[in-house]
Amino acid sequence: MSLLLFTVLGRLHGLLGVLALALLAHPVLSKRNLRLWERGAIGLIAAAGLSGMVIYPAYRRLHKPDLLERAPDVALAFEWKEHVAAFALCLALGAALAEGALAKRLLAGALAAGLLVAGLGVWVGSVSAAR
Amino acid sequence: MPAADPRRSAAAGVGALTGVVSYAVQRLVDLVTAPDVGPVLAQLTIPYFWRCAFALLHAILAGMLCYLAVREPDEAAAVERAVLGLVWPVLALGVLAMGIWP
Repeated sequence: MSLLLFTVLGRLHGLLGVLALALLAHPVLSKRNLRLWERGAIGLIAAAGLSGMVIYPAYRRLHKPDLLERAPDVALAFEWKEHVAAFALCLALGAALAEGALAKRLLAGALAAGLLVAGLGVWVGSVSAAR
Repeated sequence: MPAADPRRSAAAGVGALTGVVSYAVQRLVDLVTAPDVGPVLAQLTIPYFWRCAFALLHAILAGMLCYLAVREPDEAAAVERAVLGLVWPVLALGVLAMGIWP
């Protein structure tokens, strides 16, 4: 994967993640049963996860060794983001099949994990660009 | 609101939590057993993908087992209540455990 494609897909990955969180917040915070919103948000979470997995091998090859060399703490924070993202994906996929209160609870967990993922992603992106 | 298919809902919840726990346990095992990051980066296979794949497999298996084992609606409701209570503790412990860096 070229650096340009990696950059474009990386931006797309971040955009999909933020959109997924924005869409997810509505059904989680609302007391109404917004199944269509939930499904849309789950689809976006899956798309964000998939795009992250597509660019992950290139990240390991192009950026991770350099990041580990220059800023190991930032690289480890990025590792943490990956792990929490896997949790968010598990909870969102479970919510896709669950219904009622359980679906809402799983989505709330996915939203909490997603917010942490987004925060870590933004922080790591800004810090690694600055160093 | 009662679920339309309580068995499926309970199985999905059990599967989701199993996926989270499976991923966290695999990662913690890797912390102890994996080589340094240099050799890991040089590997052609990517541990993250393996962990995700196995977590998904475990989640599907646990969900299927739960679906087959839970027959009655009141049993499904009990499983659902248990999963409802476990989502936040499991997620919080998982997130904290993943914050333990080598």
